[in-house]
Amino acid sequence: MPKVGLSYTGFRGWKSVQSIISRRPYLVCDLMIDGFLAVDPYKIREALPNTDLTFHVMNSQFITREQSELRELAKQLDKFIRIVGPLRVSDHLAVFELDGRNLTRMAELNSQHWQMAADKARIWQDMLGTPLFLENNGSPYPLPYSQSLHMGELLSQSGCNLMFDISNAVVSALNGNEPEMAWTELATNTSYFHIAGYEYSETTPPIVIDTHASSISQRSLDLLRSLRDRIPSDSIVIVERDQVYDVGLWEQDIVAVENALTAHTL
Amino acid sequence: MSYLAHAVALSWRDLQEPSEIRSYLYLCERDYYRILGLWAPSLRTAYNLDDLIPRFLAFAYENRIPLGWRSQIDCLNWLVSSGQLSLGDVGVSIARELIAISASQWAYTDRSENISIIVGAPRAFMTAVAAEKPRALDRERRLGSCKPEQLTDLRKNRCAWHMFDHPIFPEI
Repeated sequence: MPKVGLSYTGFRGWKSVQSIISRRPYLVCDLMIDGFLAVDPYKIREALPNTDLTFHVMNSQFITREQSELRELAKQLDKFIRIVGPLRVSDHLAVFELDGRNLTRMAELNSQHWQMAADKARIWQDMLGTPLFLENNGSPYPLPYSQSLHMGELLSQSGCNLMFDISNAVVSALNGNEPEMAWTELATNTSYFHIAGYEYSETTPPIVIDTHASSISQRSLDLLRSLRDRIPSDSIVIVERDQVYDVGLWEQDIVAVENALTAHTL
Repeated sequence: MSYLAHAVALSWRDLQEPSEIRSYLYLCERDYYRILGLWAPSLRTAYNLDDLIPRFLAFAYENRIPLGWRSQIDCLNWLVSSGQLSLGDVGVSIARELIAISASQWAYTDRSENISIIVGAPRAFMTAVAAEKPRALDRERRLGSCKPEQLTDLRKNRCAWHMFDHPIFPEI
């Protein structure tokens, strides 16, 4: 059966992560590693001595960042990869600036970004010296293209892998994009998954936002269940949480994912 | 909501694709409620943010200000240079809030090898804020303010951290 894990993005979630791992020591922990670059990597191992780790890079901005800066960042990350030995390293296919202005949240790739993304991803993977898993975006609005088609082309051109975010595919579909089942072929060719809750915004019209702050939807669990028998047995499924670190709710999500991955549970 | 209406007008001028506009509104909304609405109480008390934030964003867009973690400092500079903020007690509180949010965001988003930063307006507002990235998995970023005359000590001696008294701002 695939391994299940949970995410750790910052101090506010630490006690919850520790508490859950103490009861479920088999869980993988996915570290948002570039938030901890000022931490001694040996101390990361000491803090989670018996836990398998994966690394999630949040803010490399590898599509738009200068290569010299990227090289510096890769050098820092390489130290953590060598010492900690993560099972997977993932990053985002998104941009953090628009027309020269920094955004505080990542934004969707436009057509110009997609044209250069494959080259940038290949270069970034080479710099990191490890297989790189790239996450599909939870698009907040209807795109003028199919994200899964673009992603498929990018993966074959760059040699990178997909980190399939199950709930992001659902979020995109709910916001007017291709149905989540459009990802099936790509999703059954990878061994790394994220899943989390989403919420409706208070804007008019409302949009669905990948908040990681509420329980996983039945629709996301159904998608995971539909993939279950076609993904490799060494797959990893990370249950992400941000903002609301309630141990009970988080564990409920973990159990729901474990049940969805178990053949006889509906 | 007047803020969103203004943002739409601003967006149509600067952004090319309608899809980007919706994303932009979402970004603005998050910034507005989370960073300034919740974490700058003096600013919120002194100004109508539904009016202030769109005007600042319009200024930032027209003057190609890069925003990012510095955006609250840019907002402070704009308030001062446009004569909207005086140097009295309220001004000092607002300056401290905006500088602290910027320093906190630096510690969260910066990906260089630098460990800490001091952000200040020592002459105008007699205030400076320092921030340090987390040094262990179970430790939060550190953030605190100091008086300008303490800056030299702070630069030379990291023990000066004890004088910090600011809360940590959310990871946005």
